[in-house]
Amino acid sequence: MKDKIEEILKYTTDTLNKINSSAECQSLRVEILGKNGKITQLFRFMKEVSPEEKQLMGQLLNTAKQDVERMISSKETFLQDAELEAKLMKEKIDVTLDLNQEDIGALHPISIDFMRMAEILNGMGFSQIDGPEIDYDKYNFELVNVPKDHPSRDMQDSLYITNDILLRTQTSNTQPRAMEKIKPPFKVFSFGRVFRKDEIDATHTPAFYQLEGIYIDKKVSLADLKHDLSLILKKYLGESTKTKFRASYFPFTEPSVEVDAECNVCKGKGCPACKGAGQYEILGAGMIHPHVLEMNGIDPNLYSGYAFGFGFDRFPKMRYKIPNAKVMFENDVRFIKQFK
Amino acid sequence: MKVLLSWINDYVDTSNIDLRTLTKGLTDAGFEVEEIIDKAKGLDNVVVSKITDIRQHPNADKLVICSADYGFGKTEIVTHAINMKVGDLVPLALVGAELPNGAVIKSGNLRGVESNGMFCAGEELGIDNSIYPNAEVDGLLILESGLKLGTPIADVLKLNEIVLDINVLPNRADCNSIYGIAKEISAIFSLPIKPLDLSYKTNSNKQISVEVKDFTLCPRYQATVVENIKNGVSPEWMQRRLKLLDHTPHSLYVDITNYVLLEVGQPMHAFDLSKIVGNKIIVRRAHNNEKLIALDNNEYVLNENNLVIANANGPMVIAGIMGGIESGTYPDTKNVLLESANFHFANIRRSSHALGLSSDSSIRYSKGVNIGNTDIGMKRALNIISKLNVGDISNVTVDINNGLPKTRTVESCVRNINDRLGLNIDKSIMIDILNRLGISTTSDGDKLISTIPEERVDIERECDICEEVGRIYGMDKISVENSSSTDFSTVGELTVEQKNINRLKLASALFGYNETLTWQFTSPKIISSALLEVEKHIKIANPIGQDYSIVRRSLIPNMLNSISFNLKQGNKDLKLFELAKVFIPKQLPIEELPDEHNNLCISLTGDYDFYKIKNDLNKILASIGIKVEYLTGQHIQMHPGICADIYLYNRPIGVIGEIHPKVRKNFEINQKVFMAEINLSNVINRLNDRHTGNAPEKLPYITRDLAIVLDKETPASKIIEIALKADKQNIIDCKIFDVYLSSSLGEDKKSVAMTLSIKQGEKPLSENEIAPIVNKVLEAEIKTLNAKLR
Repeated sequence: MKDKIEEILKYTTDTLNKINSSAECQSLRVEILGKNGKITQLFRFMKEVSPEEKQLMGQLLNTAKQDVERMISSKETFLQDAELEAKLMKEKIDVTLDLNQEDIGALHPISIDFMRMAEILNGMGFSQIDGPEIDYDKYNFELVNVPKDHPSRDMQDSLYITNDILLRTQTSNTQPRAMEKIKPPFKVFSFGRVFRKDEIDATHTPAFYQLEGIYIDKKVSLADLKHDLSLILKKYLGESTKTKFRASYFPFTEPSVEVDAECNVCKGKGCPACKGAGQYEILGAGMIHPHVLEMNGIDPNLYSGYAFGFGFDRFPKMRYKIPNAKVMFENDVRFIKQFK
Repeated sequence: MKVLLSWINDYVDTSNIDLRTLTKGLTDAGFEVEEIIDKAKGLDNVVVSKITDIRQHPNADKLVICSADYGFGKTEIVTHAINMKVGDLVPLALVGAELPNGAVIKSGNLRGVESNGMFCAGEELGIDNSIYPNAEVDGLLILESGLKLGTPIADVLKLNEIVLDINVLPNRADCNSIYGIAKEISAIFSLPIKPLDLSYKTNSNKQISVEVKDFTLCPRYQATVVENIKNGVSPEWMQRRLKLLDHTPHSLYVDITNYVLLEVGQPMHAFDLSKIVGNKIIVRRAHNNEKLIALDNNEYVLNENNLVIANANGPMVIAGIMGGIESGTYPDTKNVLLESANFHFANIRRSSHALGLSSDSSIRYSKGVNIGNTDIGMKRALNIISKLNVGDISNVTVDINNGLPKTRTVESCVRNINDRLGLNIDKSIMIDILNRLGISTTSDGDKLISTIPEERVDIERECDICEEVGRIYGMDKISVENSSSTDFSTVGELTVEQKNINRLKLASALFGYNETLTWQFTSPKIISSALLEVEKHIKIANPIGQDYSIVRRSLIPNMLNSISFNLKQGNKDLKLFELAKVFIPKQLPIEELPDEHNNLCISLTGDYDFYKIKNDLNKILASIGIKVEYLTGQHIQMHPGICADIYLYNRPIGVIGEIHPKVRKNFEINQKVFMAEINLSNVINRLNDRHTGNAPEKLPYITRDLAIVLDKETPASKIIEIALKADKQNIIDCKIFDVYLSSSLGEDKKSVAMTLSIKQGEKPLSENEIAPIVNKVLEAEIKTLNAKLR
């Protein structure tokens, strides 16, 4: 009996060595452990032996059965894995190929930079206000202290619809509208298109974007303006940005300042990029003229405020080194797609 | 405005200030120096040399070899010039010179002979006869004898001159002159200022009368007779200064008026006294269609908006803009009337623009001249005439005015000034600054009392005094340390509308659309090509041109234009979007502000279909929590069979469809274009925040398919609506997955297959429970839409 078991185990081992498919493993399992399998048949001899031998034989046969099953299963698992791998390899594709791609679109660089700026200004306590792009002379000029005879009120500089209604020339039209609605203290900014009667060339377009901010509270000073602006410009243009003030003039502010940034190419020494000046003009700003506050119902003896404003197009133009203003508004999709 | 530094030095001595400090000081105080023009530029290494020998070049007929002595050296120069002789002094450009015309001088070999430098002609040095006599001759510039050899040529030509181009801001029109800038420099650098010499001798008492008919347009008119004038060429120093500031010298009296204009900023005019018919000057508005031939030889047709200086016969001068050819001064003029007047700046600006005629005088008047300045101008001109002894000056200057400005007093408070500037400037420093500016100031405790000079019309109140103090003290001394801004506690945020606009833009880009930005105004042609009515649009009264004359009320025309442009650029499969304002007039012509709406327009060009753009629009709007409905629509720009109106809460908000082939042909687009435009006004004002978040049902949804046959024209939206309403309790969703047309169904029938999603409760639904639910849908479709089970 022992010999027979040995023989079956050897047969199993030999057969398994030759086998190379999981299906053959199953056949072998049937051949040995099936209803008429070689070990199953040996169990049938049990009836014919003594009880002592029966117990011993039972142990031997059960052990043999388990050994065979373990051997077959082990080989079978190995072969199944290999077969799955082989099958999967047949499904191999060229993963470097692009098929049926749908591209994402891009925002215009002006939108991208505006959203960046809006986040900075929100973080500094400024809320966004909007105003109409077509507005009354009153909001665009009169209430921001642009006198009746100021050249910008002439037909050659502004785009008029009637004597009294024009395409706004500055986002400042939002200032009196804000002062009408909200009471100080407040910090607000506005952004949008403004319009001038300019022919299109490398640096001019008849419409461009402006951004401006105002802060009105008790005892606002130029030091506050400097503090806030230098923070805004550092976050927007880079931490190394240095800002300088010099005297200037705007009808809506008094005193007025021109804010320059140190040239980031030459660090203020003067180079071709800044035309030797060591700095370049960033924006105009100043303390809101008390007459503007008065006209808009705010007591200048109680409150003061600062305002700053600038043409926005030049910043994305500078940042992305866009060669001229024209390409920004031709809407060639090859230009826009760069900003994905 | 350009100023000559040496002329400034007549009044304030800047010789101890280096140029960089001077220009920085001006710039920081609000007088930005835009350009520093060095008139000696290109004259380095050009020196006086003497020709000591001239001999023929051995290998070239047209060249000679000259020996030259330039004081600190000697050299040989080959030249083809012929106008010199031995002993002449000529400018020699040494090796290394870079001449004003850009020529760089190197040592060379001309036909086998070394030449170490170049003799220069006047042209090569960038000069003409007004800078040096005979500078314009053909050939070398022959210098006067007696010059020291080796002297830099810039010294000989007196071109060691610096011109500053200064941006004078509009509130400081009083500084559009040499003397104005000199006064500023004196204040900035605390230097003494010399007064103008305004004295003159008179030896006549002739006068003529002046009548001003419109004091608004001419607040002041001064006139002085000068007889027996000697009107030749002006002296060399005067010509030189005019020339260095880009003014062409003419004759003496014209040059004197220009000189005074530059020096004190007062435009003046000289009439030939004999041409003043009736011996009376009349300042009046022109009559309509009155004509005048001006000094530029053109005839101008005037109207009542133009001011003229007239005699009894008619206009002689367009006031403040240009003289008439008739009444001007010429070499043979014997007696003149000098005019120094004040004209309203805005009227001069408008007249000048309307006539298309400008002059130094009109440019200056347009910026605003002070009323008091006429007297200074007149006296300065008479002073020069007197000094040059070129005429007999009358002791009567007629002065017609409607009242002269008086000095004013402005009070301010030291603490307020410091509070506004964010500085702590000492009172004494403030007083010193103001006095330096000619604003004589005293104090009473914390109060400053300032007397404002007549010409400082810009100073009206405390904030103006504050600016004067700040700009001279130095705006850059303002320090962030004095800011209290850090205590501030407003919350910066965007409104719901602003947030939603940003989200819609981002979503459009994420779903593949590229953002375009077009102008708010466009051409009538583009509007009518898009089959919109030009008459319904707002028109700009003074457009830049026809192409920018119509204010848009839809984004579609410009979008079609962008598509057309891109296709011509070879770009394909375009997915574009624009989110921007449109303008809907309340009436035309408008009397009040139009409605402004933010619109969103998306477009697809290429191998796409209607369902693609509709799906994309749904996804974009879903980004702000909006779900819209579509109903079959008709729009003239759209394909009659592929067009829907878009509804939100039963209100129409837009249109979607395929652009009508005839519309796209107008834009030369030869492929299908799908487009949607919606008015966002009632879309973006809702914040997308859900109020509930239910747990999902424990058991999965069951799906059952149902196919029905019904009228071909029945909209899918209707079929779905009925299915969902049939059993609201149990039916979660209904999706149509197939629409099938066949003659076997009947010509006007279609088969629609849908999948119903059915919700299960706590226990699984049995087949017996599901069948009645599906049946409810079927029955509803049969009853409402006359459908049949397929």
